[in-house]
Amino acid sequence: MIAADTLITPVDLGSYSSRVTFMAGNAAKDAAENLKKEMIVAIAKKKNIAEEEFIFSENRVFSNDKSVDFSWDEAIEILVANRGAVSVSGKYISPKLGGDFKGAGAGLSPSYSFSSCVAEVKVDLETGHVKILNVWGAHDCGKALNPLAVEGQLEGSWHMGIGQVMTEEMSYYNGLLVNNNFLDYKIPTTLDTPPIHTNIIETIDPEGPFGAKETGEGAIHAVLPAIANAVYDAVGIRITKLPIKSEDVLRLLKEKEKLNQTAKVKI
Amino acid sequence: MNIEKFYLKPESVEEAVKIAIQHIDSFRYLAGGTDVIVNKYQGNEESNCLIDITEIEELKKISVDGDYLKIGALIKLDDLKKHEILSKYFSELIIAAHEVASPMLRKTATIGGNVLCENRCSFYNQSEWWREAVGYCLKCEGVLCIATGGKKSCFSKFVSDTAPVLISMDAQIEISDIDGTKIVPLESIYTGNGIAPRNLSRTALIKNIILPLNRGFKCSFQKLRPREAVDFTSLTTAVTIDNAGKIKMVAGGVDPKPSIIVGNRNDDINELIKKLVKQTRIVDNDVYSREYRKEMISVFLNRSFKVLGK
Ligand SMILES: Cc1cc2nc3c(=O)[nH]c(=O)nc-3n(C[C@H](O)[C@H](O)[C@H](O)COP(=O)(O)OP(=O)(O)OC[C@H]3O[C@@H](n4cnc5c(N)ncnc54)[C@H](O)[C@@H]3O)c2cc1C
Repeated sequence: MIAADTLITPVDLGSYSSRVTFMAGNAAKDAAENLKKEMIVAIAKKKNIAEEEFIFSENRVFSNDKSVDFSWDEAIEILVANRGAVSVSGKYISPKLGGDFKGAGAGLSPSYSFSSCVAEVKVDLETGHVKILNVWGAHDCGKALNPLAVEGQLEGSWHMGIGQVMTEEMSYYNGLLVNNNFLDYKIPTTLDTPPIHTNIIETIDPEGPFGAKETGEGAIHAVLPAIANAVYDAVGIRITKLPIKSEDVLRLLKEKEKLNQTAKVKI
Repeated sequence: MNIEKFYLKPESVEEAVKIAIQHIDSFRYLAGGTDVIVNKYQGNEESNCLIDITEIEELKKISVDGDYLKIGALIKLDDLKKHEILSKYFSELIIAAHEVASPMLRKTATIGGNVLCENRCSFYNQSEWWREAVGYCLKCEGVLCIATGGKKSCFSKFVSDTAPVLISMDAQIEISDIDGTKIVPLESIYTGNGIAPRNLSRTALIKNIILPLNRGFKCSFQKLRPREAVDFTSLTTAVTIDNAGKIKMVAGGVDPKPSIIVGNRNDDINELIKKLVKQTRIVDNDVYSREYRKEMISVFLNRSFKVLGK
């Protein structure tokens, strides 16, 4: 198999937007189906059997009446005989999306993933330090083509989200990035990463390859508000700025304390 | 980066000092190299000669000498915990060493190098290119301190995590130099001048770190940083009480030198803490703001006193 040779593969817009499983997956599936067609034509011609008779199953190619019954290798031999290497390609173009109402063009996608997270945190009332104790979550990725890879993606997404929500930021001095290295740009270490409990929710998307959608950027969204909400649940302060810095937490705790005091005086 | 022209590996302290004298204009002792080499890559360390002291066997021992414990300067931070006498009497030193950098670095970094680790600042620990673009600060031969927006002195942070614990336990260091060997209190080598934070002669070689054994130390160490590993300190505190009731509090990361207050069991703790906070000179050269780090000194010290039952 040749991957990414522009001579034979159609143009794609690129690897972003968590679109690769969906777009490239559908295109690969289309390519495989085109290959299947070629194989059927070759065998049908050689064995004089109607094309509709063919069944592909369990690594075998056979006809309904079993008058033709080839292993995969035998089928390939017939396909390439007198012809040499067979090259096919496939494509996927999403159906027309949207409508003619206001806002119909925003955030369009042939499918959408859904994600949720629950976080458990501990807040130090004297220092404002937030420690994440646990993250649980579930992600609807359509059909999980490779469940282990999906699980890895979820852990990766939530770890990355924890970085965004807790420590990662860029600080500038006169336009120059001050924390321009991985000592000063704070990606969570293993010690900063809580136990992560992943759950894959499988649905079959009507448009995705074998029902798959995505497990990339979609998975990250929920972990950020989950952590901020956990802080609210723990100590009653609303975080409105990321990352959640100890000093901001401490300031908000003090402001809340002050409000409580004045409220008490009023009563 | 300036590539060194000489890389020398003496096998004794005397030989090391002798080589140092020969290269007196531009050399640096190299132990674990976890501080020196990074500074070299960033162009802040420009010595022509590196004197690798890691072959000197006499610097790798831990021994008891009367009422004192001698820790060889080349003992690696990760190895401290392997010595029973340290875990028995100086467990907080092991904890402090464990809070330095990351597991891999601690397998290379030495305790001697740790107490001599170069001061740091967000505007100094940068690449050559970055520092040139910003305009060199005082610590790299510029004329103004950038962190303070123009002050004429340098406030680079003292960042060693083991030194505050060691100083709180009245540690001394044994130094070999051209004129022989001497023993001085560890705290006496720190100047408070961010540009030249230590007053050791260039050729001085630390042989041992010496801790008193029979004083019944109770110690509490704490460190402030955004992540639980890798990060340098934004504030390190150590409080030690001995069996005579002497209290020694030390803070690092909040001044170019360790800030130290000595008192005793009968003193008003709040007053002691206030005095220590007053001694520090914190500027905005860290991930945490000046105000926050200042506030945390009291929080940390109060916690330590609670732990120590005072
Ligand atoms: C990513 C990263 C994170 C770090 N985090 C921390 C941290 O959290 N806390 C911390 O304290 N440090 C930290 N460090 C700095 C450094 O790793 C430690 O301070 C370490 O203990 C230095 O020891 P070393 O043996 O590697 O010293 P070296 O780099 O070999 O030497 C440091 C200095 O000491 C001198 N020196 C060494 N031994 C002797 C001796 N016997 N006699 C005379 N001079 C000597 C050298 O000439 C040099 O000036 C970090 C470093 C990195 C790269």
